[in-house]
Amino acid sequence: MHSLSIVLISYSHKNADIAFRDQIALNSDEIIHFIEVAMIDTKIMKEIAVISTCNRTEFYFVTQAPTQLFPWLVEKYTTIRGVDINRDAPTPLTQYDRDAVMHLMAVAGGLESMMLGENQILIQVKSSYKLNLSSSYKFPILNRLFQDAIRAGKSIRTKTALCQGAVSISMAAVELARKIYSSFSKRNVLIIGAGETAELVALHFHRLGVNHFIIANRDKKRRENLASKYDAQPISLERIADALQEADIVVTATKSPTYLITNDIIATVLKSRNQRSILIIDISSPRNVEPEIADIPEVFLYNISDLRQVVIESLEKRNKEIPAAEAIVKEVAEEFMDWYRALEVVPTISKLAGYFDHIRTQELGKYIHKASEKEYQHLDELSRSIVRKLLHYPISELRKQNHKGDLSVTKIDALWDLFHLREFDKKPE
Amino acid sequence: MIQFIHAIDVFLPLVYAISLGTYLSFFLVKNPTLGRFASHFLFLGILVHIIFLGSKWAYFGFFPIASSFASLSMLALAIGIVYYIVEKIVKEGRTGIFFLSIIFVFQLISSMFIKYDQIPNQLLSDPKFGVHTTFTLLGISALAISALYGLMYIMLVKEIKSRHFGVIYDGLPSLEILGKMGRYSTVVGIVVLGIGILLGHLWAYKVLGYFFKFDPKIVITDIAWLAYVGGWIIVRKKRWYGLRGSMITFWGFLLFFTLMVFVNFIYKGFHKFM
Repeated sequence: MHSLSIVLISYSHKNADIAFRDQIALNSDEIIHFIEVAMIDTKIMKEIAVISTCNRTEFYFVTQAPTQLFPWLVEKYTTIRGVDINRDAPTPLTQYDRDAVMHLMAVAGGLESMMLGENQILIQVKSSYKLNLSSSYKFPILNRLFQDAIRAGKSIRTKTALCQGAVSISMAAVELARKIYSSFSKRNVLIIGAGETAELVALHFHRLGVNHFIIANRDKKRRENLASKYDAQPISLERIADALQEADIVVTATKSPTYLITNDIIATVLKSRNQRSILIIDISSPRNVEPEIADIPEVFLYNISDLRQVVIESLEKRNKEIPAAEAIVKEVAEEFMDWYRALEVVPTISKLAGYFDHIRTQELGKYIHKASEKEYQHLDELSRSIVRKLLHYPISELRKQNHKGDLSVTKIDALWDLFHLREFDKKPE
Repeated sequence: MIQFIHAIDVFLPLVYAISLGTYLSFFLVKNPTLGRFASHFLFLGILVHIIFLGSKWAYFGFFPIASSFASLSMLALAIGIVYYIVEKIVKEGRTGIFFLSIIFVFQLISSMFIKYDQIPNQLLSDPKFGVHTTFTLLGISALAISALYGLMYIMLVKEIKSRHFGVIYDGLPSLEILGKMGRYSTVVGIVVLGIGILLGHLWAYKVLGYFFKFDPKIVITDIAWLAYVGGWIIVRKKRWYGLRGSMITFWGFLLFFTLMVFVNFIYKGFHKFM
């Protein structure tokens, strides 16, 4: 039981390029396979968990032999995936115990993500945890670690603004729309353009719950192609004014050199729609919407520069939240380490007491035929009392330090070395 | 009983203060658990408040609006009830901070300065008058709340259009939700104030022998109510649910409020019960 370490071996966007990350990324079946292979060799491995996303592949181990982990990983990658992670590969980030624990919690909180505070990573950490639970092996330490990491991730999301605000142009557009409308299932979205950007925006709004799209484009084939993906109504550019009567949100993403929506068009349209508000997002370059339209009270008009500004401000806000998020990580990590250290100290105390008692009975045995039964009984009581007194301060100090969080794995190791408890551990009791 | 009333006088602002603090945290942090707690504390405050006013009514034998400070407490309760109903209907608590601030200040002032040794007008001992007053205050509170929602809507539109996203932008719900909450408050206000006014006229007829008296307060209240009904019909017909509707609600109430303050300043006799 003693001298277990939590070890992290991590490849992420911080130390590996995308080509390498793609090469080593594992799907659910491969992760399960890794777990099964790892559990064959229980001398090295006690527990294992894997997080694999497009930005990171990380292995968390509980082991008695930390130095043997990387060679093991190299070998398994070669046999399972046919990838040699030792040759021409970046150096992985390797962390132990508290650092590894804090790393996982920071990952779950979005602090380690390429896009600071992204939400998807928490779902991926949860998936890894569920995958471990679904395996036929019991991983008490890592399961607890993942539970606490998920808790830290949730806490960061609810107690700080680290994950709030838009961090991409399309997200900024969606966020603005959410500040104007609360539900999207009955909203009409007019998308002018049928290129990649238009399609991406349509996808974002579709995910938000929009079901009614109108796609306007000069090219009939392209507009019909995009419209078919979202069950939308394809129209020509000449019918934009008609479509504006019904639209709640308008997105323009074309390369048209002239304004497609002018002040006159909007003024006429607003009259016929009883001044109902309209959100217009112009992400075209050059702009497709006459800028003066922004002065009309019922029109919310944003161009690409406005959206970029939204993104910059969101990122600034997120950066300011880092200390608060790190404080949560530290707090939850300390709670975990308290629990983890308690796991370490209980067997140490019992092993130490066992070792002292073993010496006591061994020495006492020498007098079994030399002393009378009554004398032997006195010697037994005396030796027990001496051992109890000798162990009193070391054990209470161990408990005290463990409670205060001052008990490091190194100190426990020193204790095991001092009394040769590892050798004693192997002897039959 | 009087010790109990004095104790609640201290306890009530405390409950509202806790609810206010929780609504403030919810507005800033947006943790749904905080929102639920804030709402529970408000509910507790309303319950205690009803027991408090009920006890006063039972102990003193007249409806507890004899003085300005007593009316302030009644107004705080009315705002609390209407806001709580609207919050539960729309399931949105992020605007609670604004109303709890008003409720807390009103109740605190009332608790601090209220005196129980004044002898009120005998009219206040009639329970029918209490019902008329309760409905009227609830109705006016609902219209005040709808005006505040109108103001929030206008402020949020301003922030969105100016592209400078501050605390208001971060904390408030969407324009659609604000509009909806404002509309619900207006409907509650029109219906409840309408009942209050009608009961007042009926009660005046029964007790004083006339259905309508040319008193500026009555005239303004009746005209304001008719204007609200007319305005509501126009807004619905034209579907002015956005900025226009909010402007009408806000400026309409401000006009009504200013006129009432002015009339109260000029005519001190009617509707005074000390």
